[in-house]
Amino acid sequence: MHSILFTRPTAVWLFLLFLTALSVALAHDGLPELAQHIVTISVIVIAFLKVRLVGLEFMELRTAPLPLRAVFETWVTLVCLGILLLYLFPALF
Amino acid sequence: MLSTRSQTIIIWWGLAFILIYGLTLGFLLKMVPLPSAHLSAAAVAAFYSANRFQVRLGAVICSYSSAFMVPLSVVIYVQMARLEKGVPIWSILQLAGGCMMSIFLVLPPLFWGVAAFNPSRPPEVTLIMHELANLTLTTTDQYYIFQMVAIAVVSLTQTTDPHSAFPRWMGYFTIWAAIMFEAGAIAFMLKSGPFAWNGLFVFWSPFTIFGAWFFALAFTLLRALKHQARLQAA
Amino acid sequence: MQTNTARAAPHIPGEEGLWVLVLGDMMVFSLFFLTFTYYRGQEAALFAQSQKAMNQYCGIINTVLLLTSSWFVANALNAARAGMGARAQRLFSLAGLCGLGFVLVKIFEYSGKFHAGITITTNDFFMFYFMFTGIHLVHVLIGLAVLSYAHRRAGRAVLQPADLSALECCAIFWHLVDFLWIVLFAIFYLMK
Repeated sequence: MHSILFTRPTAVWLFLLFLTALSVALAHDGLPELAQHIVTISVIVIAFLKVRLVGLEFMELRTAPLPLRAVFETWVTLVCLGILLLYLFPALF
Repeated sequence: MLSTRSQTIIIWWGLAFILIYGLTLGFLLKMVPLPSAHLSAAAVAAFYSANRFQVRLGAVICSYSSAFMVPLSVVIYVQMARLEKGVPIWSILQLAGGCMMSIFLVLPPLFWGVAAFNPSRPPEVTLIMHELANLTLTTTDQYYIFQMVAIAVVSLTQTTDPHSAFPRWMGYFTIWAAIMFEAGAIAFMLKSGPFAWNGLFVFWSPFTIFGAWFFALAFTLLRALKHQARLQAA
Repeated sequence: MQTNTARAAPHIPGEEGLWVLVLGDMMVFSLFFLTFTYYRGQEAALFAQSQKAMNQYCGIINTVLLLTSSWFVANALNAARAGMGARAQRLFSLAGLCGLGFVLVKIFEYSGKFHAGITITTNDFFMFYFMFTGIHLVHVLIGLAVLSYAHRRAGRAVLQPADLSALECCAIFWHLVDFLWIVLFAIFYLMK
């Protein structure tokens, strides 16, 4: 049992649960506009941090050839930025 | 030796026809993308009377070219059957699925042609033909599934032949394409937005993915046939 | 010693071809996420109002279920690599149970919406909600089939490199299903 509990995946899993709890705790509405924006930006950024963790640790992209890892990291960055852009400046589009 | 040559010719036949079909759809029938599902009967009837000649000419051209899935499915059958042992059940399923699915690419231009055929009828009658055509084009996913699952199974399980036309990535590509086609049938439910018949996820993404999948398959088939012809010649 | 050097060298997780499916899926889902956020920006009040009908507990439970199943799968893969096929099988079963739990919660959630008179045609928010989570649910169902295949494959007496590679592919697909849900959860349940 020890070999399952005290492993790198376990640490990652616990951290993912912590991030989930954090984002749920943050996600309130009815705040002043600036605070509301900060909350949602945090929620989105945390979500993509979790995605990146799942990719790098569980999917083992951490040790994958660089191009593959680069494609994944680029996707995470671009999609996260795209969502934030559309969220913050809906009038632009 | 003759067989690989015939198969190559048949694939190019299919490729030429899908190209003609796509161009006709866009430039003569003006259905890329499909017009909004909110158009009134009068507006739809006006579209057909304004474009009467082009739509009917498009229907004529598509009458020759829209069955392009049949030649491709037959070559896929031959190429799959040489990998399978015993009764080539997946190849047969693929052939049946591919040929049946071809029907739903044939029908929309036929229906558009009928819609444009008679401008003197009440607009509501033209509207229903137009809607039948558009929904036939976008919602008919039932046969793709069988063809694609069969291709995926053979790609992922029959991996010993170095000259297979179905590399493993083609199996994964096919699974992805099959999953992404599913959204099409939702066009029955929604008239606007990305899931309407002219929307991003019912029109643009399935037809782009379908095109990419068709050309990728044609490419792996042609490549495998080239190898096989060389082997036979040696 | 040998395993150490093997791990240090770059290794494509699963197999090359699988990434056609994974990256393709990521591409389409990124379109989903961006389309949702775009429409949300155009109809901010409607989306904020509709979001109040969401059952946040269902979303949280499902997120935890998928994260936990991913943890089981990661451990299962390590167990299989260490030659402990039986343990890998148990862990794949546990992951499958979590996945099944996800499906049940989703059914409960959907039926709650239907009872409240909310369907795919209610408004744009729920159109996206039902479509995107529905397509994701199809991925979960395929993932469950993949996990049961992994369970069977891990049961072979001696696990060859080909078996391990197949198990890696199964694991990668399941992790993909997991992380796509992480974003869906954030945009449908938490984004205010």
